[in-house]
Amino acid sequence: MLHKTIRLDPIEKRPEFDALRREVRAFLAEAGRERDLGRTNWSSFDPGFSRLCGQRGYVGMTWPARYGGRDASPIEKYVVNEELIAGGAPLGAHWVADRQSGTQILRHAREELRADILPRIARGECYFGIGMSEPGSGSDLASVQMRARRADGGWLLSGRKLWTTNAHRVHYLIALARTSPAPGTDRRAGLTQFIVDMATPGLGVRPVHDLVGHHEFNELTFDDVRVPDSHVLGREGDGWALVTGELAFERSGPDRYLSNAQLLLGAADRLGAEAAPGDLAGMGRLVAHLAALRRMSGSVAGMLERGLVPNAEAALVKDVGTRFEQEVPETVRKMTAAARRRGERDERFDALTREMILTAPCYTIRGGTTEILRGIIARDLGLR
Amino acid sequence: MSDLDLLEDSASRFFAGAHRPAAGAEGPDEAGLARLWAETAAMGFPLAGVPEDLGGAGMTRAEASVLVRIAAAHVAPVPLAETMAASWVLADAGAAPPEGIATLQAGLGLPELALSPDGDGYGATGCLAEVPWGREAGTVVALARLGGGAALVRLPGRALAWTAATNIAGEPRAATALAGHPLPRAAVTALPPGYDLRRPGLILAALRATQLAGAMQRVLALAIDHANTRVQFGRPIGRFQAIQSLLSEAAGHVAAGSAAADGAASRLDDPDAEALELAVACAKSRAGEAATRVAAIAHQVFGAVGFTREHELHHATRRLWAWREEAGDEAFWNERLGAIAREAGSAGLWARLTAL
Repeated sequence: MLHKTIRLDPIEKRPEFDALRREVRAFLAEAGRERDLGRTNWSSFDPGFSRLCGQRGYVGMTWPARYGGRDASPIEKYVVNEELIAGGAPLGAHWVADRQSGTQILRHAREELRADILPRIARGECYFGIGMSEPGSGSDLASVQMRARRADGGWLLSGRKLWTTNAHRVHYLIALARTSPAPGTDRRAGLTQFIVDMATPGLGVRPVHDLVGHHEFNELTFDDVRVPDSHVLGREGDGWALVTGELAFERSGPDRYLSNAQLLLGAADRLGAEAAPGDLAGMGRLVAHLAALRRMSGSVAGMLERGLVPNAEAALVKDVGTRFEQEVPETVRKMTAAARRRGERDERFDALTREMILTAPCYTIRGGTTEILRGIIARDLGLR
Repeated sequence: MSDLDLLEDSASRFFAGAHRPAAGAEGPDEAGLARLWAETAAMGFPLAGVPEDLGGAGMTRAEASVLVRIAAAHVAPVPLAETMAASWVLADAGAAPPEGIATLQAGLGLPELALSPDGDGYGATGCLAEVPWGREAGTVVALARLGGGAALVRLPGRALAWTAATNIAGEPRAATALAGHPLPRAAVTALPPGYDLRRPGLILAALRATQLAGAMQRVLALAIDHANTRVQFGRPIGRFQAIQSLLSEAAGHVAAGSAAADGAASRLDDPDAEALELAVACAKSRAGEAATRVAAIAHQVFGAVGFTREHELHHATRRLWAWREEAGDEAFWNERLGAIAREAGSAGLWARLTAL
């Protein structure tokens, strides 16, 4: 009976991982990005920094050398990303291309496209957006309405996409569109993924400002946007299988528990000699959660290295990790309340706290809501 | 299959098949415990993590702790964790493991016993409270103050006068008061120079966290099984999203608590007591918090039948509630972690966590 629970394998420690950590820390120090409190976090868009990461070999690192990668293991990639994120490095420009789009291209695109796009991503020069969600589709991804119809040597895409982060400043989008009507009740059939050049005529971009006040989201309108056959991912109709594979990359990485690492780590510096036991315990509890999440995420990286497809495990890490992220600003707020009442202010830290309170609601929505993730976990637990 | 997989497999089969008290019983009687312990010892489990030159199997402590998780996952009423902890602390001092059941009394503060010279030997004075399996143990290993330092003492558990008590899981946790209790020289072992006196308490806490991981695994498995078989409103209750969400949340806690416990176990062989303390603090805190939520969810899923002594669930959930208290509860370890974070500062904290 005991086999049914999800148990993550213990992580493996190798001396080269520690050397890699030191290398990334030295890189951040050189770039003047060590624990850059409040100014940036991993989702900040900074092409200059992305190119620096590319030069250092931190983008597309698991890809083969012939595509600009360095044949690194998923655990090495995990180590590098964790250090960059914890250091507050602005990775937003290349993040989606590195985390998921590039890997999709490596696995499913035609050779000429791989040879064209992957080296540019790896140099930190070529950025991607995610073209999954649409107005009205929400968590029900199979309900996408975007149509692709055959045209001479390619396809014409029509419809809308929504919540497309950075669409106004990326070069490509991987868009999910319906290429044939759903046969019977299987809405997952007849979908296809396309690589869309954002400079194609007929593509409109409208900003959607988020709750924090930032412009990262966009709504896109496609009016017969032409995509050549060479830019189809996989085979026509494979879209659902491809998109679920892509989501697995989205879910288990350090970006799912370190979104506010600056605030979490910075809080340690805000604990003074007069800190009440309850405030110390609040901080300590976050440390314990973080330690567990690091092992969980590292364990999934190890499963990826062994060639496994840990979809449920990734969903579980994201569920636990993002709920932890949401607790961070709430805990820090309570921890520092007494100091604020005493009139002790740290403008940068307080501004960061406010920003992270405003950002927190998105963690359990983006990349799969808690409710969707729990459906995936429940299936894996054997709940029928 | 690796050797370790084989051992896990045989331990799972052994503890699944080993005699256990019925759902309504608290624990084995004296004869039952003796029989179960003899069978456990015959499997070689208590000595797994003891060095070969001291008569053990020479596995690492991290590897041996897997047996503790498996025993807890089957709620086996045997003092395997206690006996292992006692023999490991003795091994730290170069001493061979005791015969039969042993236990370790090690708190998280100063030693509770003091030794004073008495003829050829020593007299031991102090109060030992909530000693796990103290009355049942042939040997109680404890830290004791001696002069300006500390030593290990081996007390004859069955020869002491105990006040019987149990934790809320019904496991024996007796108390005894010693006033100049005579001990021969041979019962006192010096600790190696520089030995960190926190280590015995940390070993116990690491194993309690491991037990929590094992028992949580069982509680979740029982709850999933129940959700798949209990029919209400014409379908198994596991088909309702409300139940699926609860059990998925529980699975997250089990995975997180187990990951943290693995982290502590992986440091049991590390000479660096600071690293062991950090890993243990994270493990006992996270596994303890997880245990609270996992037990609550399981009882909610089981409904009324889980709230009886007729169903076996209570054996596992009561242990979760007992073990989260022992060897430092969540508040104790969280405060300690907060103090570590304060002392390390942001950069130091990250460096220490990533070195684990």
